[in-house]
Amino acid sequence: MHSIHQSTVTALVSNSSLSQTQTSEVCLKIESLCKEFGDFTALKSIDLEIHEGEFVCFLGPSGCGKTTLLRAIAGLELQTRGKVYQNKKDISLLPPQKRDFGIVFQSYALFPNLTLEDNIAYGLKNQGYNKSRIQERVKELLELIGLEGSEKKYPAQLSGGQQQRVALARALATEPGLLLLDEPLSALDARVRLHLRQQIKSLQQKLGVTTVMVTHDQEEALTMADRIVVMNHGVIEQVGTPEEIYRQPVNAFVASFVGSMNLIPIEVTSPSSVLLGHQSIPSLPHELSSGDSASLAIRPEEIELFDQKPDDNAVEARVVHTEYLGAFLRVTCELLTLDQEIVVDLQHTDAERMVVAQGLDVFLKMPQCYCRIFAEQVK
Amino acid sequence: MSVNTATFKWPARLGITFNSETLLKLLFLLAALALMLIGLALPLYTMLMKSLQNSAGEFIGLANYQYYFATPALANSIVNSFFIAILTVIIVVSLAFVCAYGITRTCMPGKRVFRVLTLLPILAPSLLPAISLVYIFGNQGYFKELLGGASIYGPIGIVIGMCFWIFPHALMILVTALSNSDARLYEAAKAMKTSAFRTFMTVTLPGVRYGLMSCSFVVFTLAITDFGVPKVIGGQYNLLATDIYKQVVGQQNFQMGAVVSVILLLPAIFTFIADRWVQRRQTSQLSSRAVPYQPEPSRVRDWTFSLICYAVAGFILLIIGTAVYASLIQFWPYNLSFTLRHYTFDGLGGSGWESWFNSLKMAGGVALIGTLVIFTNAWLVEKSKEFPLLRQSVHLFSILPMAVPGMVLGLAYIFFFNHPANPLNFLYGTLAILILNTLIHFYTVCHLTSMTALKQLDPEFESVGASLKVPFWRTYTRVTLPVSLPAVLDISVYLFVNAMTTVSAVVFLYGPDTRLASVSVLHLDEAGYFASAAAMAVLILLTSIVVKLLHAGVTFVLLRKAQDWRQR
Repeated sequence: MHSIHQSTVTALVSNSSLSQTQTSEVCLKIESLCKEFGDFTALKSIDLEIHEGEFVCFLGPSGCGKTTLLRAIAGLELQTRGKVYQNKKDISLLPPQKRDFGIVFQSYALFPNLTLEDNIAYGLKNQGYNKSRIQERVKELLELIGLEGSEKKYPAQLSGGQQQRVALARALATEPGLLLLDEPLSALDARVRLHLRQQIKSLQQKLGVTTVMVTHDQEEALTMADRIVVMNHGVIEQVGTPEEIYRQPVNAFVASFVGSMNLIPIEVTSPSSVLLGHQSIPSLPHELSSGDSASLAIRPEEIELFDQKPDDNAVEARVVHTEYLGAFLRVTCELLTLDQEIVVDLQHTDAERMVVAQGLDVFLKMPQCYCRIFAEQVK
Repeated sequence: MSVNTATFKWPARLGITFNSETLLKLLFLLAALALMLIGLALPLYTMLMKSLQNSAGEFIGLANYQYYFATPALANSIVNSFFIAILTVIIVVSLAFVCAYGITRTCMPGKRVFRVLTLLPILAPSLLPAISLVYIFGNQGYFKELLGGASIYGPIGIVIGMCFWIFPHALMILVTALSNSDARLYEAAKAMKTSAFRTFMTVTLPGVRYGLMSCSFVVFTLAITDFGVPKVIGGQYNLLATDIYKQVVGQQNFQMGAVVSVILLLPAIFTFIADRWVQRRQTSQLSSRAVPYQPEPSRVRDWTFSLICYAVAGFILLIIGTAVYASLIQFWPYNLSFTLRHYTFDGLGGSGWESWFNSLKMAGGVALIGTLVIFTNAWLVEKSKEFPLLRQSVHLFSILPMAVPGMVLGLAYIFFFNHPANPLNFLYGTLAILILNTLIHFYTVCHLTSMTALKQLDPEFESVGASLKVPFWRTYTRVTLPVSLPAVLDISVYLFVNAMTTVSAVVFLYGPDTRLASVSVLHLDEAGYFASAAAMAVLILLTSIVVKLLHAGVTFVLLRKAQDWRQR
C-alpha cells in the first residue's frame, strides 16, 4: 500500500500522522478517474485512496471538481473514464442504489411532507426492518443528534442546523460503509456552523464511519479532516494531514489557498539559498538549479520583525500599513531592495514591545526552516 | 463480479448499467415518445402528405396549393384571418393591460370579485359569446341600434366574441408580468424626482415588455385558430379555421381541408417559435432580492381604473347573462315567459343530455389520465439522468402541441386514424380517440406547469432516495407527488375545463354514440334551436364552474392539512 502524496511532496514530510492511515484497510480507491462535460474537463485523471474510518476533506475553490468527484463516488455522476473501488469491489458502473453510502447535501434535501421519523426511516423500510426496530433505530438516531422527542415534527419546523442534523441522521440510518457530505455547513450561519463542525466530527469519531466531505472553507477542512485533498482545476494538488497541508504545501497554489502566504519572487543561488533583491538568504533545500527564477513562500506569522538590525540575514523594509486584528497585528511592509510588499503578523505581545507605525524602517528575519521555495513565480 | 442476477451490463463504453429501475424508466420514456408519435407527429405527417395528393390519393406536388392561391374565394381567408387576429390582439392586449394594471398597481376596490368575474369566459365554450351576441346585436337583438345598421354577422361579431373569451388568458399573463415588480426601482425613480409618466415609460413598461410580447403571441394564436365564434356569428365572412370545417364537412374535400390546415399551421408555428424565443429572454429579470411593489391609494387613479374594470366585468356579465336569459325564456322576442323547457332538449336525440354525459366522461377521462401521464412524463424529463437524448425529444414533443390549432389536429386525426390500413383504426369514433386528441391538444400548458412545479423541488430528492436504496417510484409517490399536489390539481382542473369546452378538434372526431356537449351547441345552433344551444352552453359553463369550485375546495382542504409542513 502506498499513499500517493508521498511522491508529490517535495519538502520535508513529518511522519507522525501517517502511521494510522497506513495500517488500516483501504475503503475507497479511485483510479485515473476522468469526467468531461462536453468540452469541459471537470476531473483530469484522479488517483486517490481513502482508508477505513478516515475523515477526508476535498478542499478547493468553486469549480475545482471536488463536488463532481464526490458525485462520481456516489454514482450520481458517471465518470467518463476510470475506476472506483469500494472495499476492493469495482463499483465504477453501479447505479447509486447498488452502492453503499449515505449522503448529506448542502440543501439538506429533507422531504418536506414527511415527519422527522419518516424522513429518518425512509431508507429503513426498504431493508426489511420491522416496525418496532425502525422506531427503535429512529429514536436512537434522534438521540444521537440531540433531537430526542421530535419524531412527529416536520422539517420546516426546525432551524437550519437542526435540519442538517436530521439529514445526517437519515444518511446514517442504514449504517452505510461510507458517509458523503457535500458542503454540509455552507448554508448555515457562522455560529451554527462552528458548533455543527464539532458535532459532526465527534459523531464521526464515535461511529468510526469513513467520511468524505466536500468544502471550500479551509478552516472547516483544517479543523475536521484527518486528511485533506486539495484540488484545483480538476486535479489533486496535494493530499496530506491538515498540518502537512498548512506547514508543507507542495506548490504555490496550495500555499496561497490554505491560510495566507507571502509569495516573493527570488532567484536561486544554491541548493539551500536564494537571492532576494541583492541579498542572499538561506532557504529550505530544494532541487532547482542556480539562476532559476522562483518564489519564496513564507507565512506572515513565521516572519520575525525587529526595529534594529538583528543579523546579516535580516531584510530591510518599511512599514506601509498596519491593521489591528485583535489577537495579532497585521503589518504590511515594503521591501527596500525590491518593489515587493510583504505581510507580517505580529503577536499581540510582540507588538506591545515596539511602536510599529506607518513609515517605520524595520528588519525582517525569515528563518531558514520556513523559507519554502516553489518553482513557479506568482505575481 | 459486481453484477448480480437482476443486473446485466451494457458495454462500458456507453456508461450505462441496466437494472430494473433504469429499464423501467426507459420503458416509460419510450411509451411517452410513442404517445407523442401516435398522437401528434404521425397524424400531422399524414395530413401534410394528404395536402400533396389528389382525391384519388396520387401525389400531385403543390398543385393543391396552386389551386388554393389561384382561387380568391379561398385565399381571401388568409387576409381575413390575419385582419381579425391582429384587431383582436390590439383590443384585447390594451384592455387586458389596463385591467391588469388596475389589479396590480392601484388600490381599486373589489379586485377579488373582478378577478373571479374575468375567469368566467374561460369556463364557457367559445360558442357561448357568439350565441349571446346574436341575441344582443342580431336581427332581433335588444341593442341592435347600437351598431348603427352594421351587421353583427361578420367581422364585428367575430372580434367582439373573440375578445370576450380570449380576454381572461391575456389578463392572467399580464397580471403575472406586472406582479413581478421591484419596488426599489420605483423608490429610486422617486428619489431622483422622476415624473410619473417617465417612470412608467422607463421602469414599468420595460419590466413587462416580454410579458406584453408573450401575451400578444398567445392572443394572436388563439384568435387565428378559434373556430367556435366565427362558426356561429361569422356569416359569410370566411376564416381559415371555418374554411377547414367547410371543406371537410360541407364539401367532403379532404385535400383542400389539408391544404388550409397546413396554411393555418404556419402562423401558429411562427408565433410559437417567436414566443419560445421571447420566453428564453425573459428569465431572471428579477433578482431574488427584489421587494414587491405595494401601491398607495390615489383617489382619481383608483376610481378611473375601477370604472374601466367594472365596465369590462359588466360586459362579461351581460354576455353570460344574455345566454342564461335566452335559455330560460319561451321564445325571444315574442314570448318572454319563464321556462325550463330548453333544458330538456326534447326530441333532439344525441344532442341532448346524452352528449352532456359524454362530455363529462370525456373530460373526466382526460383529467384523470392526462394528469397522471403528463406529470409523470414531465417528472421523467426533469428528474431522471439517464437517456438524455430520449428525454430531450419527449420534452420537445411535449411543447409542440401548443403550436397546433385544434382544427388542424382534429383533421389530422381523421387522416391518420380513419385510414383502413392503420391498426389503430378501431379507435375511430370512440371516446378513446376523443380523450387522446384532447389530451394532446392541451398537453403543453400542463407539461410546462408540471416542469415549473418540479423545478421548485430540491434537485437532490432523487439522489437521497437512491442513496437510501429506495426505488425511484417510491420517492415519486411518497414525496414528489404529494409535494406537487397543488400543481397536479391545477393541471387536472385545467384539462377538465378545456375538455368540457373545446369544440375545434373534437368536431371532426365524435361518433354517433360519442357526441359531446360542445358539439351539440354547434349543431343546435346550426339547426336553428338557438335557445337550446344557449341552454347547452350554459350547462357546460355551470359544469365548469362546479368543477372549479370543487377544485378550490379540495385545494383549500389539502393545503390546510399540509399546513404543518408547508409553513416556514
